Amino acid sequence: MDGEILRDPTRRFVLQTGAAAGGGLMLSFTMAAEGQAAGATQVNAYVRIGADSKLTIASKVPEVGQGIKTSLPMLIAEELDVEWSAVTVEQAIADTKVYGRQVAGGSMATTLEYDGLRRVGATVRALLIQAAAARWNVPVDSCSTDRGVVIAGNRRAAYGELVEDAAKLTPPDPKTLTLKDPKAFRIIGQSHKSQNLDAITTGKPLYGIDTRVPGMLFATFAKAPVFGAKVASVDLAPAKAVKGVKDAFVIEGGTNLNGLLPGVAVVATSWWAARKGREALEIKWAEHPTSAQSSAAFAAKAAELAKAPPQRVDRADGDVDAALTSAAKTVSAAYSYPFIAHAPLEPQNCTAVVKDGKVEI
Amino acid sequence: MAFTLSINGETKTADVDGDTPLLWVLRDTLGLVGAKFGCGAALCGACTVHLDGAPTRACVTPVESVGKKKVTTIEGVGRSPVGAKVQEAWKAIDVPQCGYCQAGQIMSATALLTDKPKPTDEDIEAAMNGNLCRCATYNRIKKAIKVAAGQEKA
Repeated sequence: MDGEILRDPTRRFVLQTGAAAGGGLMLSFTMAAEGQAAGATQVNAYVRIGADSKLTIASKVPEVGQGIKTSLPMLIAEELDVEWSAVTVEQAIADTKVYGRQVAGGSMATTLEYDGLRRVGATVRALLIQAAAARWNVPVDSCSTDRGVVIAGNRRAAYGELVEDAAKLTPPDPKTLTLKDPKAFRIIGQSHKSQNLDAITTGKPLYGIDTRVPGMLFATFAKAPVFGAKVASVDLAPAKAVKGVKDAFVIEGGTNLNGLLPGVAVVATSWWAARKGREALEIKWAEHPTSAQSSAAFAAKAAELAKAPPQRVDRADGDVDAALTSAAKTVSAAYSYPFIAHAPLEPQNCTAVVKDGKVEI
Repeated sequence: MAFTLSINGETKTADVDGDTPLLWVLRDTLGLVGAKFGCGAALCGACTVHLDGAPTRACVTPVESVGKKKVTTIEGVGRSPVGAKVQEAWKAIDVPQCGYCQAGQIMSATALLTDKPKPTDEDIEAAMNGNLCRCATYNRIKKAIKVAAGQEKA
């Protein structure tokens, strides 16, 4: 059930996020005054707190082994001021309207999210403090927090006791909140284990390829041996004759090398049948200019370009030529690396559910 | 045709063609997705299961060849004391990064330690040689095996 709540975070919460002037992350919160999930309150798209103070924090970026499912929730938990051991992490659904950038690639997620997600945690903390101050009829300034508890003098209330009230309040502007002094960090800066350890070590479904939906079919896709080549001719009959194969068809594809490229798809009731169908295809591929590409040609082109005058200036500090001329010693070196595939062990895959004219991926 | 299989101590039947690899019977017919599809050619080890305790690449093992051999997968390996120790050591060392290969790694490590409870470095390297890890967690895998064997502390 936990997962169900995050599947539609917009029901209770709208988070608008965008690149503010100056490259910072702008967050604004709108809370819908709708009913709460049984026993747990969704404070915003990232944080859910149970009446028993159990915390669930969503991680917005895909986990692909880089540990982001641990590090991003740590940012929220730090400013929320809770025990890391009390946190359960959930992978957020893909919804860029709610979560903004949700990309693995470029090694930038922690840097880009560092301020914004800390403010998400700080916002929830501020709401819990507001709720406590109102309940106790004391000034907000007199309240502090410590590991999941709001404190004012002798009064103490666990987050779980306050969260229903807190979720009804209007959140403060996250930009106005004061974040923790890094010297006070208890979670950031410490090593924490992978959130997926149990699932990985016991074989629970975790990866895209583990997705199963009722009645699902499996497709394989025969691609050209060079980028972008079209199918010149193919006999689909042998593939269609394989037991379990539902259909086989040519995909025209486009010319954008980053988009869907031409090929032949085989759809079957099992992956093995689809694979046998693909093996049965006799495809003749059309000629394509990319067949002239090779690692050797790329290397030669790179060497040729390196000899030419620079074409683009990314940064210009000081007088490099003068400094090199007057240097006591100069060192030069050339570095090269091949154009190679990432080659993750999990084959590229995707599951799509087509229902009522909509596609869920 | 219907095949009767012993999987993690339970009797299961699968109505599939005899040439269907055990991996796809597990994943698609029986819904046990712990064993992973990596290469489909016994090159990466992600699909490793046990047949009567022996580490076996399920992606190239036709279901018709399994017969009465007992199949153990990552979902059931923790029921043996050695398998449970290996899983605990994997967690204590926080071995995985992406984790995709680790079911296969754990199956190979469990078979090794069942056979040789106190393996040498050479034993470990020989037994684990066919299990690729694209994240290159090899040093942690080796350490976890030694922890499971009681040769090192986590």
